[in-house]
Amino acid sequence: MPVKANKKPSLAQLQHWMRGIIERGGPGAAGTAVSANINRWIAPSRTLQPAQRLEIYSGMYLFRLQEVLTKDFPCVAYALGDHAWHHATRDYVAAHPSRDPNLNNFNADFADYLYKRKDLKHARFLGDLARLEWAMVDVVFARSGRKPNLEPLRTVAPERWEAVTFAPAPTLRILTFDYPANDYLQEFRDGKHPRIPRPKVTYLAVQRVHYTVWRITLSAAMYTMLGSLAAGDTLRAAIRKTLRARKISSKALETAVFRWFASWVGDDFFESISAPASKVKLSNAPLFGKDRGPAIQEERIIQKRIGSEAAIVSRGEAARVRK
Amino acid sequence: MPRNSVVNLPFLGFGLGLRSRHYVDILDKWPDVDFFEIVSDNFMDTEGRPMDVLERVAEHYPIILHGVSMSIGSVDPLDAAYLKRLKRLADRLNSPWVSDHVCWSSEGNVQLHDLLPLPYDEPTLRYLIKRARSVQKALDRPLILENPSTYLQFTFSTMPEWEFIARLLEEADCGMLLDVNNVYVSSENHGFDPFAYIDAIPRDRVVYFHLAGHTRFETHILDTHSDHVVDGVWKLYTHAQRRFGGRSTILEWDEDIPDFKIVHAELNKAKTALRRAGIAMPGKSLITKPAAKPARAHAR
Repeated sequence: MPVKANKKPSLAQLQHWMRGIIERGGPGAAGTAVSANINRWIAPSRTLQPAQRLEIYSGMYLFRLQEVLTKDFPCVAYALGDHAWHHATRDYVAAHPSRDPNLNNFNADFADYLYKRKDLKHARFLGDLARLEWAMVDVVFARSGRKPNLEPLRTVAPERWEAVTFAPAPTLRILTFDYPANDYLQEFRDGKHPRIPRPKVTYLAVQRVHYTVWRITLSAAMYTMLGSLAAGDTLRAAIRKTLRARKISSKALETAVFRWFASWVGDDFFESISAPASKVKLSNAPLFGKDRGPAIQEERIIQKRIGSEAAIVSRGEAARVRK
Repeated sequence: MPRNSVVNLPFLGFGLGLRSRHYVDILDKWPDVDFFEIVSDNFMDTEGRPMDVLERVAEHYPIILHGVSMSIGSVDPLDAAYLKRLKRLADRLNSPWVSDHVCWSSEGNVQLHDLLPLPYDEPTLRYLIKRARSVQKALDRPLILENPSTYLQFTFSTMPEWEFIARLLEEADCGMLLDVNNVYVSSENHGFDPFAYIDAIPRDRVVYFHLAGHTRFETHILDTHSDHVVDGVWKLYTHAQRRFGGRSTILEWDEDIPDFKIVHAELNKAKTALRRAGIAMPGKSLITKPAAKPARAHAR
């Protein structure tokens, strides 16, 4: 929408022009053509030239969005260091302009963005770490789960257990990483100075209960089973998937599974448990199948609560930095 | 909306902007605050912890909605989905009005998350009047518009901000949220008389006041909401309260937020300032609490 020199712009032309300058990082960065109208359209003040007045707005735009990112991803910011963090967030802001009036959703694509940054050293690790930090924010804003009715667990006949389904709480996230992102985050939160770790596949549940966010380490088998159940599979299907993944022997799984469930139910991982209608035809096969041998020994099941998080997240309030 | 509906809006007293930093203090102590104002955009898409807290607070205090993203001055079409969600929230909390700013904050479907200045001329005024009327209809309650802090002025503006806003309020039949600190900040940045600004606003249009701190730089002032209210703003505030005959007040503190007791003490300074100036406040109006709320399992 070019406007002739000295001609008063329409409101649409003016806003498009201003947005361009703000998004590009200010009058200097926007280029001569875009900046040509500054002195014609903006009045100087006693102390500032028109371009300087416009810079107040362009500077605050980037600052505000970077501030929102820094609040949600403090550990990624630490891992990158100040200089690289500034550049990575500046590039993210440029690549992902905010489309939502609510700032809460602005950071949702940041982990994916880091994964794709091939030029970034340790991009895979940083993406993992960002995904973990985002999950911890995301559950704060998720609907609180209902307390499940445990009646089906007490009343369902043992032979019908295989068809029981479990609906995950909306505040539960089940994650896997190529790096030990949670260990790194914990060290950072403990005030230590962790170094970028070597790759190691890890599994984690992030769950908000009331106002506290928990991170709970999972074994590979727990991750497979929990993920399957969260996807809506029946207990039989989840067991099958877990055994097929060969992360645990059927014998070990049979021993462990009730312990897991006691713990998961206690941690409010599920908001509903459904027993099958009595007319549903069930399989005659044993629930845990034949022992597939000691291919992989049962992993040590670590179910470790790691501290209470300060669950107060104040995204969006940054929108009020300046009015 | 009938002509006098703004005048009849309830006097709510002296309130604070509800900020997450103070959730624990508020839920533990239920402090002596008349009402709270929320940034509505922060609560429109959440059912999680923020909404849990808000519903508990709403059981004890009137809540009013104040937004930053309506973008009433934008050339983008009004966001019907946004207005629908805003109305749903206002209904849920029984907010007697909804406020936002005389500004634009989005263009081409890109959100700039700032309160950007408008040219003050006839075509822009006519455009905003039309949009403000549509918004009030969509929200089914009065729209209260706030004067923004601004850092630049357009050469082709044909009227001062106070005239633009006064005409907008009258012709769109809106109320005004008079941010006294914003008048002060803009008056310093642009070099106008802040008392003349306040005297130009129609008496029966102001519904409530905002007070806040700001940051002074060598060349300009930024409205940062990060500090105590300065003397110059207190003077303007008492002048405004005297002119408008006693209106509700909200104190905002959004950056470098201190302990609750400090923010609360700052709010109490407003009462002291008015007492010293001999300005009487009307009796507080009751606003009906929301009819029904989901059951909550939280112990107090």
